[in-house]
This record gives sequence, C-alpha cells and structure tokens, in this order.
Amino acid sequence: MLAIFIVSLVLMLALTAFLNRMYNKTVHTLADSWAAQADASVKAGNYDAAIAQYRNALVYSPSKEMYQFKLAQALADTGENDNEAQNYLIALWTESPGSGPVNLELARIAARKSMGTAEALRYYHSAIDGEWPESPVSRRWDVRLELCNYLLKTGRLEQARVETMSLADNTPSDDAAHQIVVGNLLLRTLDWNRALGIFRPLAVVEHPNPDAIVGAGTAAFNLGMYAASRDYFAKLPAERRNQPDIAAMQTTSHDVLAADPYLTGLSTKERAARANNAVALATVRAQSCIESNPSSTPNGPVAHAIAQLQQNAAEFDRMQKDWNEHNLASFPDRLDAAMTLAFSTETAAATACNASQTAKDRALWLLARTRTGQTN
Amino acid sequence: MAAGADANGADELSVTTPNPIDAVPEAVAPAPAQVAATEPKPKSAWRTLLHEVFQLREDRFFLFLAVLIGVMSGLCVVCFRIFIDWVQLTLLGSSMTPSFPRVVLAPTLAGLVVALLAIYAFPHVRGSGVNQTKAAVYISNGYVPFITVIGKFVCCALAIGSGQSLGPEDPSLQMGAGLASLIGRKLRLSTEKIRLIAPVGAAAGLAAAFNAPMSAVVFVIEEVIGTWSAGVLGAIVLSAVSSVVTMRSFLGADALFRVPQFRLVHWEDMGAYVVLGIVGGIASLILLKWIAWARPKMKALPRWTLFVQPAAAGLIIGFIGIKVPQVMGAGYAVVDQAMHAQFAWKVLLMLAALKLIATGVSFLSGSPGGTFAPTLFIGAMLGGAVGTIEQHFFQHLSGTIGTFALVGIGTLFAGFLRTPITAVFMVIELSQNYSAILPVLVSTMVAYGISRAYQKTPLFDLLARQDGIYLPSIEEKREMLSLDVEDALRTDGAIVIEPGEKITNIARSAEAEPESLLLLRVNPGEFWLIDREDVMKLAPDASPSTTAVMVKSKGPVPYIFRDQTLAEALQSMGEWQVLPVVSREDLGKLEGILTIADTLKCFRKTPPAEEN
Repeated sequence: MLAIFIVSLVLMLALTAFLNRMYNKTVHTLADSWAAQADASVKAGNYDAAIAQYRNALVYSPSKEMYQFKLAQALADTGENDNEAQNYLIALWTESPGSGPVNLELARIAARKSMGTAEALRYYHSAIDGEWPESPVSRRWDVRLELCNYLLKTGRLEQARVETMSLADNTPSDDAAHQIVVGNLLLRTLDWNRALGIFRPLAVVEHPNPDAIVGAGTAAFNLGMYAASRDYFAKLPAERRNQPDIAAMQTTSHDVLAADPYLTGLSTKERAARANNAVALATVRAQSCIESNPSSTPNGPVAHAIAQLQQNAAEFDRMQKDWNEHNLASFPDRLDAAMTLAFSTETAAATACNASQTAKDRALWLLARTRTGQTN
Repeated sequence: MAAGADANGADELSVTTPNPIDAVPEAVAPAPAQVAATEPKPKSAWRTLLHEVFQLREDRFFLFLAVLIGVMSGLCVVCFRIFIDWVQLTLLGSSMTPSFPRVVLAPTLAGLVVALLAIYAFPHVRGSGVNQTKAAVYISNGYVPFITVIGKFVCCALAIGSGQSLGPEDPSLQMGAGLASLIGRKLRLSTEKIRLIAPVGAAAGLAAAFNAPMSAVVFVIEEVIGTWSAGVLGAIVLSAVSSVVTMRSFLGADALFRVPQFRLVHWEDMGAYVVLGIVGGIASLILLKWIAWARPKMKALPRWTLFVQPAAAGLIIGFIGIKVPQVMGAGYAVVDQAMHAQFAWKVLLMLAALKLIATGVSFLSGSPGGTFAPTLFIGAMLGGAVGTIEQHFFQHLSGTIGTFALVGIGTLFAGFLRTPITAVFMVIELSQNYSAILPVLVSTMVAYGISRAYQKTPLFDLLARQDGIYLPSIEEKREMLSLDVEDALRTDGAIVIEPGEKITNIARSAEAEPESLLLLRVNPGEFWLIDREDVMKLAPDASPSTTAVMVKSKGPVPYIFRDQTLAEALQSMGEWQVLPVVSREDLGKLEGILTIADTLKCFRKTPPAEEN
C-alpha cells in the first residue's frame, strides 16, 4: 500500500508540475499583457488607466519589481497617490537600497512633502551614488541637477552652490550644452565668478551660443564688470538683446559707465563734469530721502542711514563751492573726496529710501558698490 | 514505583531502602505507539522492507508519514490554488474590475452549481472545514471521507473563484486532514494513529495555503488539538514544513502580501494600536453575533432553500461587486493595496463593512469556503482606516498605514477566530518583521478581550453546538481554572517521625494530636505511614531501645509537590488515601499532606465551566 502511495505521490508531482507550468505560462502572459497596456497608457498620459492596468499586472506577477516600480512611478506622477507610491518604493528599496531609480523616486516624493527635506536629500544622494541600469554617468548628472534645482527652490543657496560645483566638476569641458546648464545654475546660486569662468570660454568662440553670451553678460554685470557685460550683450542677436531683463541690464550698464568718472581715457574736464553730476545727484537724493523719513524714525539701520545722510548733506553744503565743475577740473585731487561722499550718500539712501531710487541713482549706487569692492 | 512495592504501591518496610527518584510516579506521557506491534496486521512488502532495511519503528514511521502527508498536502494546495485562479479567470476575467454581466452572473450561477453539488454529490462540504476536522478527530477517530476532500476541492474552487467572499485556507486544512486520514486508513495504522494523523494533515494543508508554517502549527494546536502534545508536535511541524517547501517550490516563496517596512519609533503609537484593538474587537463581535443569530434561522428554512441559498448569496455579492468588486473572492490583492495605502479611510471603512456583509452572507448561505481570508481582509481594511485617521491627526507618529493594516489582520483574527497566539505568529510570519510584535500583541489582546467578554463561545465551538455537536472547547479548557495541590493542602495534619525516634516519644505525640498522621521520614523524599494502633500497642511495654523503624508501617508513600495539579495528584495517589507534600528544594521537608477527602471537597467547591 505504501508503494501505491509513493506512486501516487509521483503522479501528483507530475500532474502538479504540469498544471503549474500551464498556470505560470498563463499568468505571465496576462501580466505582460496588462503591463504592456499600462505602458501604452503612460505614454498616452492616461495615468489612472495605467495604474489600474499595472495593478492587474501585479495580481499575476506580484513579485515583479519592474511592475511595482512602474506602478509607483505612475502613482507618483498623478501627484495624488504619494503615500501609496512611497510604500511600494520603500518595499523595493528594502530589497535594493542602492537602486538609483528607486532612490530618485523616493527623493521626489519626499521633496513634495513640506517636512521631507532631510529625507529628500538623503534619497537624492543615494540616487547619485546608486546603481543605474543604463547610462549611469548621465543619469547621475541628471539627478544632481535635479537636486540643485530642488535646493534652489527650497532656498538652500549654500547647499545648492556646493552641489552645483560638484556638478560642474562632473561636466566635460567640451560639452557646451551641459556647461551652459551648469553655468545657469551657478548664476542662480549667485556664484558669479564661477559662472563667468564657465561662460567666458563659450562666449568667445566663433559662433557662440546665445545662452552662453547671456550667461557671461549676466555674470559680468553682477560682478560690476559693466563694460564687459555691455560687450557681451552687444554680441547677441537683436531679438534676444531686446528681451526685457537683458535690455534692463544693458541700460544699467550704460548708465553706470556714463556716470563713472574713473573710466580710462576720459579728459580731466569730463571727469570733473561726471563728478559734479554725481555730487549734485547725491545732494538731491540725500535731501529727498531725509524729507521722506520723519525724525521719529526708530533706531536701526534706517535711522543710522538717515543720520549719515544728514551729515553728508551738511558736508555737501559746506563743500558746494569746492566741488563745482570748474574747481574739480582745476583741482583733480578733490575728485576722490567728492565721489566718496556721493557714494556714501547713495549707499545710505539705498538703505533708507530704496523704493525711491531713480535709474541714475541706481547707476551711481552700483558704481559705489563696484568701487568699494561690493558686488551682488 | 519503588522496588518491592505491590500493585497498590504499598509494601512492608524492607531493609533495602529504594531510591526516592524511582518512587516518583511516572510523568503522564503517552507510551510509544506499539499498535503495529500489538495488533497483528498483514504487512505489505514495502512496509516490511522499510521496517527491516531502515529499521523504522512505528513512531519513526509516523514521522516519515508526516513528511509524505506534508508533500501531498502541499501538492494538493498548489492544485487547489491554481484551480481557484483558473475558475476566477474563466468566470470573472483577468481584470480586478470585472464587467457588469459577469460580476452578477458568475457568483449566482456558480452558487447554483455549488448547491447542487453539495446536496447530491458531496453532502459534507458545507462550511469552512475547521470544525469538520475537529469533529473527525474527536468523534470519528480521525476519519475524514476522501469524497469530502474532492468535494471541498471542487466546490470551494467554484465558490471562491466565482466571487463568494470566502477563503481557501480552512478548506485546505480539511483537505490536508482528509488526505492524511486516507493515508492512515490505507496503511492500516492504529485508531490512535489515525486520530493523530488528521491534525498532522490539517497543519500541512493550512501551512501550504497560508505559506506560513508556524502559524499553521500553532493554529492546529490552539484550535484543533488543544494541547502541546509531544507525541504529535514533531509530526505536525514536519508535515507543515514539508508542505510549505513543496508549495514554495511550485508557487514561489513570496508572502501573501508585500508588507512595507516598519519601525516603531514613537511609543505614543501604542495608543493608536489600542484603538485598533477596540475597533477590531467590535467588528469581530458584530460578525460573530450576526452569525450566531442568523445561522440557526437559516438552518430552520425549508429544505428546498438549500438549492438557492448559495446562489442568492452570490447574487447579493454580485450586486455589491458592481460598484465594489474588491469584496469578491479571497481579496488578497486588495489587502496588498490597503497595505500600500491605496485607499482613503472612508473607502477602507466602506470595504471593511461591505466585506463583513459579503462574508456573513456567503458563510450563512452554506457555501463551502473558509473564513480566514475574509477575516484578514476586514482586519486589514479596519487597520488601514485607523492608520489613515491616525496619520491625519498625528503626523509625527511613526506607524505607516501598511503597519496598521498588518496589525489589523492579527487583530480581527484574534477577535473573530479567537486564536490570539496564532494571530501573533501569523502577523510576524506574514510581515517577516519582528518589530511589529508589540503593536500586534497590544491590539490582538484588546480585540480578543472584547470578543471574549461579550461572546463567550468562540466561533468554531458555536458552529459545532448549533449543529448539535459538543466538541471540546479549547478556549474554555485554556481558561478553566486549574486546581492545584496547594488548594487542598493540609499543613497541620501530620507528625514527621525520624527513624531513630523512641516509640514512647512517638506515642506521646500521637496522644497529643489524635487526628494527625504519623509519617516516618526514612530518607529525603521517602515517607512511610506508621500504624498508629501499633504504636499505641507497643509503647507501654517498649524498651528504651525500641525506635520508630520497629513499628508496623506502610510505604514508601508517593510524594507530590504543592504546585502540581490535583488531577496529577489523584493519578499519583493510587490506593493511598493520603500523600505527603514536600518541598522541591528539600525532599525531606514536609509542607503538608493531601488527603483524598480534601481533594474531592476542593473539586466540589469549584464552579462548573460557564456555558453560553
């Protein structure tokens, strides 16, 4: 009887193996079919249908990580199912903590949460250091770029600058497109020097990319290199040059250069005329700013600036005759003192009355910043 | 028993003092099965070969059979699951959201077929299968008809595959028991072994269906056998493991659900799990009370309604399924989704409520199928709902919705099926994560307590009693107060006499305490009962050298300890009317005596087990 049972067992094994093979074939076909439909739905942008179809695929291939990942992606892409997407991704992450794509999706979900910054940064870095099934170098570069954008968006300028520098280090020098992206990021992180270092070589080639020229011009402008900025912008095609932001920078550059008495190549008379204009402008600016601020202004930077303006205004009154155009031309050594007081006045007025700054005042203020070694 | 003792355990004091250890009554353990040796039966050539070549004793042969049963049960469950899926694909299609005509017609028509099969072909397939297995063990000496196995296989696959809200686990348990029973009968095992082999098969079937061997072993012990019997535990474990290995080799090692990782960070979370326990306990009660109330009424309906009850249940479920197809079938995929936070709390509550209704309807209609999977489903939905609400109001807490769903599974399992230990093991096995143990313990115990407080009789016992069968209630047995020796101990009823004590002194003591026994302490743990009359007779003429050893006495008297049960003490007592109770750390130290009169008095004072 035991023999009969052992024979029965063997027969059962064979039957089960046969049924199981057929069953597996059927369910895998079903899973693939549902997954293919889901992929098509994703391509068509129909995420709700894709989610339902990926779910059906997972019913028949529950352990297939690719389907789980795609479902999580589809859920995340809707922007309304982050919790579920995160759960699927965490399960995948547990299996493969070094997976670049999984870490990236987790980072994106964490980035969408108001309290998820630390988590997002951790996942972003894991994604950068993680494994990528294809084009790992390029994918890591993309992820770091995304991280930089995220940091900038959340106002973490210092961290963004560090990450952008890493991105710059990982960008081939002959890859102009990527260099421009990095340069633009450096502009956003206010790292004008490095940005100019990236854009300058790209802007001086025979057929420069307009974006590179804009980048170089913007970096130069913010570094107080108004002449260089003007020259860069001059290379732009007209339609680009006339874009409002670029046009504004060009005008400002022109105003600053027109107000600067220290430019090389100017005659003594011209220098004196510019210095005299600066003194006159600053005097008016000081008076109007003092008048617009009541004496009861509380202590603080504004009160301090008003006091400075009152002092400067008195000095302008006292030196009115010494700093007229004729005397400044006759005694060029007085020019520095006059310009120093004008710069001081514009700087104090910028603190106390920034809203009422005219274009010429702004030019003089920018010139003051450049001369005193301050840039944006 | 001491050397030289007669059948009553009494003997005259002999010169040779026996080893006290030998005098300790044998522990109550079943003797190795000798049935094959004692009952002359024709042996097959194979069996003879196995016996002669491998020198398999009966108990080892039983273990070998356990593995064989495990493998066969595993194969059977694999085929069962494939068949269920095949039926589902055929009747409902491959989408999780079946189209309108199918969703109503499939369970209704399948219900009709199931009813016909249950009435004409397989008369014992109704119900979940757990009680039938238990009844087979306690009433039919482990006999489960093989036709029932076939019937369960076909009818359950039809019912579950067509969308009835039932699960495949309990039927798998019964199919395993049926296969084991068949093997036992065909191999002409003794009645005792056949009775033991049915739970072995049951564990194998359940383990393969659940892909959780430990839970299956614990469930069978907790619900079917009721005791941790060493005689069968090894076989049950072996069969469960071999069935799971077999099942995994075909269907893979993946757990039923993909459970998100969990780490308990905030202890405040435990409050939320208590709430989950309360919710789970109440939901369990609702389902239990409903079944307890409605089942007798369903049974009282005219016989012709048996033909339409499963179909009517199918129709109701089909209509629910038009809008909410998730409640149809076992629902593992939906549980998986709940664990991944797919549903809002309102949807989760709705799913739990509708599944509760669908399960009640399916179960009450007599459709064959199990209650495990629906219990898991309802628990997961309730857990998910509590978790979602908790996350909404207390965002800093660490529990994920998946964790709550997982704990919810254990909670309802403990509350509804009243197997709390299985529930805890099951959650750990399903999640493969020990860190969920604290929430599970808290939540399951709360739910179990609520369910136990308001519904005295557990589900399976209730169903059996409604069917007129009074199976032993494991829960009642577990919770019955144990009467110990110390409950009937008399501390002042004996005088201990040393062997060298003079008989005159003994007589004086005996006169001072006329009711006390005289116990001669020969060695630690060796007490003899001195004949008081003989002492009084010898004392007046006794010389100064006459000592206690020269007095007529009986012994050695078996001794017991104060923490032993009175039942054990009665076994040790034999023909003795009194037993010395000694200290475990010093066998010579008498702590008191136990008399048969005190023992019986103690039993009489204890109230009988509460009936519901």
